[in-house]
Amino acid sequence: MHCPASGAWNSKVRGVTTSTATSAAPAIRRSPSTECVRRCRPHGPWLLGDIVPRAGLRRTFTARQQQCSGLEHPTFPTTVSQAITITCNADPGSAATSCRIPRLGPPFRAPRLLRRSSASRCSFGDNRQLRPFPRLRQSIGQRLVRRRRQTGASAGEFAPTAFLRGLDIQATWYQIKINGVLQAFGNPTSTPSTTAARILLYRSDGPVRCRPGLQTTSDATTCPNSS
Amino acid sequence: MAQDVGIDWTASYDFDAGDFGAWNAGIVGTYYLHDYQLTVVGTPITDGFHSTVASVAE
Repeated sequence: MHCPASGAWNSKVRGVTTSTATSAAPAIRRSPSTECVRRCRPHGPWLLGDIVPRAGLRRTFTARQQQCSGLEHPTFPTTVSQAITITCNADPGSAATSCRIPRLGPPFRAPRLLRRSSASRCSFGDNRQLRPFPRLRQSIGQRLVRRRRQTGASAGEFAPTAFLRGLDIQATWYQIKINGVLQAFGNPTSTPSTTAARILLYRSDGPVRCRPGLQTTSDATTCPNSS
Repeated sequence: MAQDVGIDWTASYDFDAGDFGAWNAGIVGTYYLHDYQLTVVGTPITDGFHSTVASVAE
């Protein structure tokens, strides 16, 4: 039996504590049992009987020796014989799927208020992690821009005083220009919104999914035409 | 893009009826001039108030 002599270790022999940090031989009787004790010493405190096993302490030492063996190598299973399989698949159509497989148009950053939601956070085993804030997606294939309005007006009033006192005529010329108007809301039919093209806008962390059991594709981009 | 152009107008007349009080009569209205629409970038701008639509069969 071989034990590395380097390293600090302590041992108690008959109530006397001996400490060494070198490779010098300790002042105890060297025997296979002692060698084993030295090897197992770093794992915890040991009793006197563990260091110098005698007839009456043999059982204790044996038990410790087995425990020691378990902690070091021989009998303790250090290799996993059973395969542990961890899959990262998500239910088709769930929010997790939309996180793993971003589809349905280009994403863009949501306003700060919407980003405070902590509902969605997708982590992967290889340290990949999607952004923790929700993202808005549109399904019409065009970038959604902010709706802006510009208004101009010019007014005039006529109120004669020399004749027809009390007459008042006003006119206001106006011009309203609106950019980014949403006007293509799909083709409303009697059937529900079952395809991605009919879903105008949604938050990717929301429960946007087909009804359970109705998914036709794994990435849930389409749903069957049934209510 | 959508652009609406028009004129809001109003005309009123105030008169004093003596012991019968002060009266006001008026009318308001809006005259729409243009209704420009640009649905797809690159296509001509159409005016909904000045476009010839297809005839409707009776």
